[in-house]
Amino acid sequence: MALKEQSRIATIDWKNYAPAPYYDELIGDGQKPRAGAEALTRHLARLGSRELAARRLAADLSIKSMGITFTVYSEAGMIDRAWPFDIVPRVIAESEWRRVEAGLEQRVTALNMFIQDLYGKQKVIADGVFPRSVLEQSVNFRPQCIGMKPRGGVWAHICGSDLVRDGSGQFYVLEDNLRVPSGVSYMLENRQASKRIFPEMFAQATILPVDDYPGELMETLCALSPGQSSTPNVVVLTPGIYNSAYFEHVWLASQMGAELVQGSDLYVSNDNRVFMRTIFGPQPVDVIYRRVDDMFLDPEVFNPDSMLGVPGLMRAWKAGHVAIANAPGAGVADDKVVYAYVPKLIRYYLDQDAIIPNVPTYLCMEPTQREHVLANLDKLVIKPANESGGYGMLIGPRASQRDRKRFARLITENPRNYIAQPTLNLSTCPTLVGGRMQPRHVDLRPFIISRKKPYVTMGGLTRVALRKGSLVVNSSQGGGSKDTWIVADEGGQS
Amino acid sequence: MLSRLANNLYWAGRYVERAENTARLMGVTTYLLLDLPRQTQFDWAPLVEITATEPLFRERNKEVTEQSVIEFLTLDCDNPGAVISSLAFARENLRVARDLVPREVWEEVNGLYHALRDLDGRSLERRSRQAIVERIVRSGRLVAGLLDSGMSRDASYRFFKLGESLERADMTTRILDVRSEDLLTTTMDGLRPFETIQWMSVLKSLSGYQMYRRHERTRVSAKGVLRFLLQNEDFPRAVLHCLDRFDEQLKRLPENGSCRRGVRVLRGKIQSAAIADLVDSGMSEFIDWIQGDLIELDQRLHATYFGR
Repeated sequence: MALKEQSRIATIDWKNYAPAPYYDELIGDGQKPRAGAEALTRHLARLGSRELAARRLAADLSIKSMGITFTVYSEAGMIDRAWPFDIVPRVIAESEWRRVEAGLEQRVTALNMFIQDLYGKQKVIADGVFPRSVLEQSVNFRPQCIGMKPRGGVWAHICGSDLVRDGSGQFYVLEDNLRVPSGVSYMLENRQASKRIFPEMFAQATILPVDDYPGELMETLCALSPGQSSTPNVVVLTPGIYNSAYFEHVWLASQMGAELVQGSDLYVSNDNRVFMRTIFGPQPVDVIYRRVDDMFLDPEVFNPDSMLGVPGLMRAWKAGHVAIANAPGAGVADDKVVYAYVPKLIRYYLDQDAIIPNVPTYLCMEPTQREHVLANLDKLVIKPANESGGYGMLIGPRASQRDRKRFARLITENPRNYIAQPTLNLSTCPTLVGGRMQPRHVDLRPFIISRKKPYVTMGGLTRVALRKGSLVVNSSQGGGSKDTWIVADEGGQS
Repeated sequence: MLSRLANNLYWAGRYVERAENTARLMGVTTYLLLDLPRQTQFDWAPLVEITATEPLFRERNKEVTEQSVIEFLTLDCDNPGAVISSLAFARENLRVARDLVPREVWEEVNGLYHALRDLDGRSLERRSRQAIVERIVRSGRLVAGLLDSGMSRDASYRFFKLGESLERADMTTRILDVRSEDLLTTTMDGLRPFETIQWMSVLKSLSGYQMYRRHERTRVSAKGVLRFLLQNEDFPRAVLHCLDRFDEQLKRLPENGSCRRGVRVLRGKIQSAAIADLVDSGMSEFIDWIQGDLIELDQRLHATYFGR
């Protein structure tokens, strides 16, 4: 980047910052800062872009030296990339956040009840709320789990839900990740970085802390232990160093003081108990926080070729000798067709209206909706029901005629596997690009821990599409991230 | 501690040590060459023998030349005994155990590995070789220092050190084996005056010349050098000392019975050996015997700690 250009623009004038027609996270109508962002925008303007560039450089260096990386796959093999971080935080006023928090708690509560119901009496189907045909074609429904009742009826102990805002500023849930959601370590590392970059801000405003996550997670996991010990053995099960989230697995294990294990470190005894192999001999394992997908968990039951899993793990789990989080089979609710039913599920299980709405979603399996989708491929976003990481999508307005034709065929061949949503005008947030503030699209992934009283992270991971106009925030596809500040309302209690 | 990680650290310790020793050997051999009479046909093959990779070398090289041997031992990724391969293995083992050792250790090994990958054969020609050798040796010393001053004496540390001391004992015996065979049997006519400098080179490859002078107080001789490098309790690269260091770590680990018994037996054999007689005959067999015992120690470690 041209340093010259950076030094020429010394001041930041928010009057020249033009996010329109999008909703901007920091700057509102009449170029005024939004509630909660006053102090930050003032501070940024005062620092000026030369100072910001210097602080950004310092941030890049510290991220490199802290070794925060993620892994991308390419033809040339694996690359550990430094985590792209933008120093300008995204700010949400506490009063607004409390409502989102309540909405997320409501959502995961209903989702857990739904999962328990599907593996139990299936009343939701008998009552005609959820179609049996959708369940029958679900790739993440595990018949092996039928009849199981994990403690407290919680299946998805950790959920990462993606939120977006549209042009009006309304938050929507875009998807729920109930299998092995990742990103929480980056949320916490981003906070460390921004404390170093803007120490003054943490003195001026009450930015609610995020660092209690590992402690809360550990406590939740310990509480799942079927054993009697007050200090149960908790392990984090990773697929290994070649997994794109391996950095996070190492990070979480060390933050929680849990052992990081691979499948080969564990074995299941004939009496269905799980042990890990240590230099002191076999040690019993009580709780497994697994970051391995269902299908690879246990070659005895699922994919027989899996080298990542532990033969017999499902036996041990069903016998109640080990707790697994998230529970096998929880992914059944991590399906974009199920997603479309969530507002109905909230009404059915909790008798409440959804606090955070869904993005309007067309189910291609419904003939009339499918017709609408096929006729409007140039306006809609098409998503496969069970992919994550932003793969296998069609963004209609930007797609070529050929891609649209291909998706039309895919949808017709397998309508159950596709949903469509209108293209959203994702909100933007000021981002330091080429020495000046430019609007870039963002989303937000809060993490919710389910237990008697659910825990929601204070804010979450804000992901930002660093390319101008891009809507793709996934780190595997050129996205970066920002720190997310929940700022206590002025005059309110902190 | 997980058995898998203990195994990773043990091998990281072995490979880091192996890389350093291989580099030392090349460095000293290069210097030795400068002291020998010009008409001598110096044989580079023993270096390949020390790393036990002759078949592969012959497959890949028509001739045993200085350059072919040095390149093979430094940069040939297909040679498991090459410095670069040792570093690659060390790196793979450390990668998964990265959070168990001081971060600088990983950075040093990783950095050296990448530096060597960027080299080509020409940089190993005699005039620039020494700088590279020194860089490799210095990295090894740096890692040792980082562990010494920056790492808690936990199980991770102990397994790394177990690997390091066993490998060091093994490399010392390899060097003695090949060099003594050379030097004891072929008292090449006309090379008598140079025997001393060849034994000196053995000492120097193990940074032992200065210490030898102070401990042995005699001229450099076959008997003196062999006694020093096998039986000295105080010199860090002497086999006996390495065994004591190995045992020191074992003492602090659980269920060490079988491994410590193995150490005791081997220690007894070395300590009671009559070096003066062995110099005349049987040295090679004796060293084979030690190496066999070292392999058995490795197997006992695996059975006790890694295979559980």
